[in-house]
Amino acid sequence: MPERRNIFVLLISVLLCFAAGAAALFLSSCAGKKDSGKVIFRGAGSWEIPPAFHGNPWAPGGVGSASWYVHEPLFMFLPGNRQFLPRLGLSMKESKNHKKLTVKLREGVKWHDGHPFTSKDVVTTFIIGYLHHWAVWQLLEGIETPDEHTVVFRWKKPCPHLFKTRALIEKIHSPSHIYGKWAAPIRPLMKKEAEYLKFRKRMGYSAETRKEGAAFEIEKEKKAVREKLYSFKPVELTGTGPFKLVTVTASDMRFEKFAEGWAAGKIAIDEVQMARWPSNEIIWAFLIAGEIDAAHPATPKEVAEQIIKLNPRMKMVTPSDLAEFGLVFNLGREPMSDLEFRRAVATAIDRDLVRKISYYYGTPVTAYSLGIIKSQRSDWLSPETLQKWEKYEFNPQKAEEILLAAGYKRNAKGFWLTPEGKKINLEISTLGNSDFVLGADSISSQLVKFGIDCHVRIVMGQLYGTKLTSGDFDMVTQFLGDARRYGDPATVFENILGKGGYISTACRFPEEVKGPDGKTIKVHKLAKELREYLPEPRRREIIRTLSWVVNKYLPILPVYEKNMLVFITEGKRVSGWPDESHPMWSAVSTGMEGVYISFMTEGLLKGKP
Amino acid sequence: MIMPRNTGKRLLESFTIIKHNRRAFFGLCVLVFFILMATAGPVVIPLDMSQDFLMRFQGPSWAHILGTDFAGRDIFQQLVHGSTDVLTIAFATAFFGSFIAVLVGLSAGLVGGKFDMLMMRIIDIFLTVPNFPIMIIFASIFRINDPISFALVLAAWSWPGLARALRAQVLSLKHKEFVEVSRVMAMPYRHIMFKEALPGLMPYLMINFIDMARGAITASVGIMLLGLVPLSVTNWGMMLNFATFQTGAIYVPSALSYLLSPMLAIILFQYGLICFASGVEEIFDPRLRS
Amino acid sequence: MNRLTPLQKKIFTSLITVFVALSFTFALMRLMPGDIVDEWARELQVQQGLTYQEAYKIATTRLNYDPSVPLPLQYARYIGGLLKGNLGMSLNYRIPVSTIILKALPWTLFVASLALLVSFTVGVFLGMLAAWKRKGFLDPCVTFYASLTQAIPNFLFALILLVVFAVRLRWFPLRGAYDIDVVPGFNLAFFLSAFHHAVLPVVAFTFQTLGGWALSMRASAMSVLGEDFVMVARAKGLKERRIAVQYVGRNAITPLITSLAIAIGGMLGGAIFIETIFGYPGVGFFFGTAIATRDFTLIQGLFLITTLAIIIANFAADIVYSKLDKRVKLE
Repeated sequence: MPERRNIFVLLISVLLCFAAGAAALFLSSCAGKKDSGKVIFRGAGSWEIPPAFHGNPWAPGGVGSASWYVHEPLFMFLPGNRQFLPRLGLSMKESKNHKKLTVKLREGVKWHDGHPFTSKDVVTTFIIGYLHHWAVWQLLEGIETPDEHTVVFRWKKPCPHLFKTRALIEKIHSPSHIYGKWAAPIRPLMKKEAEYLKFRKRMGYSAETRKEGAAFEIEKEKKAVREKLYSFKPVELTGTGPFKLVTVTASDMRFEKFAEGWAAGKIAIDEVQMARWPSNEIIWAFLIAGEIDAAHPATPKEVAEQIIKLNPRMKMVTPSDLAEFGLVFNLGREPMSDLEFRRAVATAIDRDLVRKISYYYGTPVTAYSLGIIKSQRSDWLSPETLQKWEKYEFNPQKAEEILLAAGYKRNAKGFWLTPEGKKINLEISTLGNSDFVLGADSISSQLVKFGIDCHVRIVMGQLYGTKLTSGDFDMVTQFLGDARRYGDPATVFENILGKGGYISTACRFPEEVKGPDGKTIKVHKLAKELREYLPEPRRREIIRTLSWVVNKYLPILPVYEKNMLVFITEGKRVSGWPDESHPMWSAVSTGMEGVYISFMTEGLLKGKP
Repeated sequence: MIMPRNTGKRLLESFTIIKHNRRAFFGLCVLVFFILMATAGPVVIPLDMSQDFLMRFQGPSWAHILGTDFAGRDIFQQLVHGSTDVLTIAFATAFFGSFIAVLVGLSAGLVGGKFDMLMMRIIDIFLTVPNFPIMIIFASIFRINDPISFALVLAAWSWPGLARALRAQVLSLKHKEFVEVSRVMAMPYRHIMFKEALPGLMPYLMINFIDMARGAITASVGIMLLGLVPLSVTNWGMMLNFATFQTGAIYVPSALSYLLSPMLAIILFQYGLICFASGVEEIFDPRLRS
Repeated sequence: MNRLTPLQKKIFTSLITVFVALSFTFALMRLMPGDIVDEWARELQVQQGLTYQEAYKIATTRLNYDPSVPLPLQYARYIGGLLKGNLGMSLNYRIPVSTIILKALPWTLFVASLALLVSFTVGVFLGMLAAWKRKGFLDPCVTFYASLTQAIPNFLFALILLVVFAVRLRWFPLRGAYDIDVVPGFNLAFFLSAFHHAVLPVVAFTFQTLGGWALSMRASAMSVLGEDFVMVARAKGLKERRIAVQYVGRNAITPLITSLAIAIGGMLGGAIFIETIFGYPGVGFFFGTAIATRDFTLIQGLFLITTLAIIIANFAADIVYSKLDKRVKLE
């Protein structure tokens, strides 16, 4: 029975493999895993795997999600109630003219390597930030240290909320005893550049050819310093934060509580373990298994319900991500260039249905297109104002009327033709993220049902920007009204209507439009003004005007406000998660891990009861 | 007019062989079923893509034989309407791919010498040069909308492996008596290739043809995600992708049908083809009949 | 001048192929359209709430590639470095490409070779049996198994394995190449841990590819079964087993060797789905980031490995043919 023998050989080898696996399983489970009684928090995050991992927060590769556990900012900003929570900073004071911001630092704070934390470390971080074009430097003139525990930010112009926040929430991650030597060569460069800018201002652009060489020189020198800095690859990740990084592998990170940390007394968590975030599908499996205590994958309704059902300890919190998902229309291309057509499209789409199908846990946006996100609407626009503005609620009949009135016709198959009699065929371009694709598909099939022929094409990330700037699209899916991090409408309108704004360039929005009273509204100018320090009434007025412009001329159509889906396990390893009303949840848009850390630092998150 | 009668007779003979082989007959039925589905299906069964949130992830019922998808749309309708493009792409890709492979592999193996060396080097380059940047370049230049050009793009990457394997087989066949006899008799290469060498390679060629066809369904998803062709939610591969990634259907018991339906269609398609191929083997090689 | 032996000739042409393939890759990478800085800028814009222009400015600092250096010069530098055995510095990470490859490749090799070995031997064996006993029970089973496994997306299958064996049964670890508590090095705990962690990735890969090998082998064996020499051997009254192995198997495996050679090269590119699902370190991760960051030197380094692997494996395959089939000369 020769074949039999072959099968035996096969069987035996398979069995041997399994035996080896079982032995390995047995031995490795015996090897360690003593229950030490430590309180452990398990999360998920991403980082560059060794050998690309290193401890220099400036160099590419590197720190990844570890930064949240190891580094701290001066203050933590809560967009929900517009409060600053003291971290490395204790208090702050603004001068009357808003040109000086003084921050008192916490005393007795130590870096993980034992060095004391001082104002010099803040300056070092910001100086190196200058080398990296930190946006705060557009307004920052200089940063001073009157003493070891005071930092003074001097502004070129009165400083608006946006820039103040930028300065205060940057993580201070470059101790001067390590990074001071990299900051030193930057100072003369700053001076040189300031002089050059002054000179250019005096002479004007055009008179300038010889000195442009100087600008080039400065950039070159900056690059040289940067490259030197990037070649610095420490193994240790040094911070002041509540946790010290102990081990990094391709799949796991492990942190230990920093016993000398300023908040160590309040922190009940002894160890943080972080699993590599592979993809949402696997995170769901981890959540069901109770493998991790908290994660925020974008999750469809049924899956979320299933997770909660299978893991009774699981809860779900859905704070806003302070951004809206929606469409950008290309005003430079037929037929999207026709306002009437855009109005028809806006009324032909059942936006709430799109939300339900593509991102159930979003907050529906059904009536307007304001630029201002839904959850912040009441901060800026009164119901009486809104009452007077045009609504774009789902109403296919109205959409039909708009199109007919504008001269559009249907062909025999029911598809819409332009007034010139050409069949309309639209394309929605979208990035490949699953919620984007589902949203685009939903919108497209609704338009087809309405009689506007439409299909979806996925665009690779690398080609997306070119597509937008070149105007080679009809509609794209995009995050609009993006007020993440600062909760400030200035960045929102800069993007949608500003000169060179990302969305305004893409949709070809004009520089000026006609206002409700027939007067011209200078859109670019207003968007720019909004970024300056303004008295509150003026600020409100501009926001109102720009919001009206967006709603009236429809360069965009928001579909839903994106909410984060945070799954938290209560009582397996940790307990004490505050409920959704806690203002700290509003900081999720500034970074999820920052919120977890804050719960720990405030002593809310404890071991299992 | 001898030819028609002759081919007619041969066809009949082939059919008898297949009819006697139970598996092959099953394969034939599956094939006919799919062809009917792709041609007559869309005419007979209307496609309603309107979305209904309350109807999503419904199980199989009389109204929806295979249930509904994440937007409350009938899965069976989508399978039927997707089949036209899916099958066209699958067969066209497999056809183009095998054709190039046979041409290159056989000629390289038979001609030998410098030509063989050149062809092998070209194959090696096709095998080694990454196709990702090429796809990006394609995606930024072309907009493909018809299934045939779609298939050509897919076929461009599927032939080199088969060509190399065919050449290897030809090299060992080359020294067999019948080929050597043909060479001594100074028969043209074309004759040696198609009349003598090819029939012996048929089983291997067919399994690769089937593999290419199935592979094309999977690969078309990648091409859609790169944006080279518009997204089609009724493409079977894309349905599977939506079920797995976009809607997380693997975790939702009620969505099982959405996950399994396209998968079963692909399994049936491939299994049917392989069964059918086992009958075709016998047509080409009478010695296998029993 | 001495005439080159066929072997030398073959080595020479293989080298030329490597050279041409690398040059192609070099050119293609740089011809890739699209604005990578834009992609980072959008990422930063979202992460840090900047305006697009602010984000774009920051993003440019990440790019260490100077497009103003003319292409021919870049090419000359690249080839020059290569000839000296220098793969260059990664543009993104600013560490030697060789460091990255040396660290990532062993894991990929470990899992890939194990998976390929198991799936190839078992697959060929099953395929052979299916062809030999064509009317038996095994043949339709193998075919159906292959159709089934090939229709299930590999990602899905690996995920099911993960959920069943790691999440539910807890027989195997959820992720990684070794336990975070063991110290990598020459010690028993590390090896055991590594094997334990490799089981699921290897099984996932094996189950997926097994069917394909079986089908190919079955088809190839069918071609051979009809050959005269099998009849002759049978007529001579040789033992069935001897015919199966010596005559049929030996001849049928020829085309599969080529596929195996190609598969080896492909596997060295890292099985990305395995690496993502099982959090396994390896070449796939770096392939992904290198393409996403336009890290030309790293991409070139990684492709050099796969190119060499494919060419060498094909080269070896040709030699194996001539050994398996005495009539085929090395040409």
